[in-house]
Amino acid sequence: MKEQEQDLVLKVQAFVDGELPEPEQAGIAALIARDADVAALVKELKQTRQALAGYDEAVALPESREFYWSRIQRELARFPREQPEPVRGSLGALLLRWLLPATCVAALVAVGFLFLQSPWSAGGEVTWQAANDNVNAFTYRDYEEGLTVMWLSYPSDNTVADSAEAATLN
Amino acid sequence: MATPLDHASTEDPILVRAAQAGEEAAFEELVARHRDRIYARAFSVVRNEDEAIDLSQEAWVKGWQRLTQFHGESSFSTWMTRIVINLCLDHLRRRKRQPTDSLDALDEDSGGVERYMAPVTVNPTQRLERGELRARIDAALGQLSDAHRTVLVLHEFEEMEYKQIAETMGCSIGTVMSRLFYARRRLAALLADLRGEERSS
Repeated sequence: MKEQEQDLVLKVQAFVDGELPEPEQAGIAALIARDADVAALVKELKQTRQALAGYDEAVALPESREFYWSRIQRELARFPREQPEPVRGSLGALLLRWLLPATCVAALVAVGFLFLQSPWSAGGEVTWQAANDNVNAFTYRDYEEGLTVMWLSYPSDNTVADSAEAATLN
Repeated sequence: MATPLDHASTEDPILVRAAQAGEEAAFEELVARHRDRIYARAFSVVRNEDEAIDLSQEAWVKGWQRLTQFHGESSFSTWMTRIVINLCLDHLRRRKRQPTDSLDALDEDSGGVERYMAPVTVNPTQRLERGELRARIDAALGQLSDAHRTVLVLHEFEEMEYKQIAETMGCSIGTVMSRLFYARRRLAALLADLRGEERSS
């Protein structure tokens, strides 16, 4: 019986606090309306809430602004803000590993295309070839002008990926 | 060149952003603005002026260190209040339990006399001046156990729901409801007693 009473008073309190589930609200409201003791309990709970309202608004720190802040400031100097650690697989790492080499290759192709379309290549004998099987080096020769140009690209992404620096990102 | 902030007339969110960027003067203004509230919350939980000052200052240091994690989901003062409450709860856990706490816990476990006590029918705080009322509530709160007072503070002053209190204190919602009920009933009784003592003297 006592346990049932305990459950009941806690439900009454939840009703006062607006935390009682809706299906139970009507039952508790009816109980409050017909039981004078429960109604008195509700009144007391509400009075206590009212008494506490605004209680701590008047509480003020018993120290001056300067004195209070000076200690905080000392602690800020002692314990500086932690910098967030770099995140593995971050955007920067992705750029370094894939985008930059890919951009270099794309730039080389674009430059080569421009040269083939340019007036330099009009007439005369021109060759455009990879210097070797490695696509990272290209040679342009214009025999008429006696001109030879060689491009060396950025190291391949494998070089970056295999480096010790890149290994720390994984 | 950027114009320096006039801190006193700048709103919290702008000060917070400046402080997040490392501007200590902006943070000092935030401290000045909200120090009373943060101290009041610490004091309402630990009931000791020196401890409340220490804990509130510790909270500001933690706030500065974690400021980059604050993204404005709540107001800055609410965010700071959560920090100080957590510090106070840690402090209470560390603090040696007083014998009266054990008795309170026993009362709570067995239902407590307040559960069956007749309600206080006359409003014990009626017609009291604000200062008088505050002093009386102060005295009554000081007689509650840490656990009961903390639940009361979180519910009445922080306006937390049962579920939030349970999460903050690491206990069940049932325990929160039980402690809150006990704390309120005891507070009502203490306020009535205090008024009775005044009358008889």
